[in-house]
Amino acid sequence: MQEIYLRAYAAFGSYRGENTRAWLAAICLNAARSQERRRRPWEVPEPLRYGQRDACPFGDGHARRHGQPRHGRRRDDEPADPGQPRHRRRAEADRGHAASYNYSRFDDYVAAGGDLADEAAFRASPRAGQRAEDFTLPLLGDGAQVRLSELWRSTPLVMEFGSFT
Amino acid sequence: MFVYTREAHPGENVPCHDSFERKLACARLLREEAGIGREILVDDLAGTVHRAYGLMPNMTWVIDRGGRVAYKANSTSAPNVEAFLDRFLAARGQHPAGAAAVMYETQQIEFRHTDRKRFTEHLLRNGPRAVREFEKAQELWARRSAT
Repeated sequence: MQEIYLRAYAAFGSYRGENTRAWLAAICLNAARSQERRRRPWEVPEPLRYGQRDACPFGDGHARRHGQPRHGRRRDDEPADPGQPRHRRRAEADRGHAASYNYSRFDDYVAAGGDLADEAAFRASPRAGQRAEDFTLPLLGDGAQVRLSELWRSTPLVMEFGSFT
Repeated sequence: MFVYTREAHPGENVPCHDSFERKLACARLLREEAGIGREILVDDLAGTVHRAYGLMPNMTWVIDRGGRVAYKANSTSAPNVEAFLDRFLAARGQHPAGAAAVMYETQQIEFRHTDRKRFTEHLLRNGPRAVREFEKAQELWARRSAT
């Protein structure tokens, strides 16, 4: 609420004296959208794709800062086949996204700066004191869906991320 | 809780995940071979949770009850996590009469000792290619730090 009024104060020059509630509501909506974008940096498509010249290995935000076009609702790894249904194009884009995440060669990943991008992602992740993101994941074994917030509801949750190495 | 992510060093024996079924199979294999007693959650194929928490291959997070981040480390050191939890829970739980617990934030550099022989054995488990690629990556890192 404080941020809304600060934004309203800063933008008071643009207020034309009409519907105050609508004006404040628009500011509120924009603030919420900005907050959501800051809170969910991982939702920005991360085009670490090999074999594509224009892909920025450091993520979409990096590409934007360096004058490349922002990837909008339609990711640039979606095929530009207008004949395909939207859900199929989205599925193909998701497969591409998963393929770039699950790199097959570690040395290539490092050569492309993937390790540096990962370090940057860690620095950009929620800081101590901020709210952790909540997700639901399947449990290995019975496949039961586990919601992280259920695990940290009454006691602290220790989460270690890892693989074979 | 252990969250299984992508394979950091894929090789001939443990390749990168090209399907969720393969990812599940690798996670089962890891549980059996490494004897992980904790419960294992498996991230989706695109690494949605891994991305949200920072993409490092072996990081640890402590989320306090209610969902606030209490600790994050881009590499896991069990003694460090345990020491933190002891301090954190003790300080939050009890304080001298007349004193209030005031939260503050720290940022530190820590050191941990890695067993290179054991790490190489793990790379070999994934496949000889994983060893070769790690050696190449080391050369790249050396070149990077020289410039």
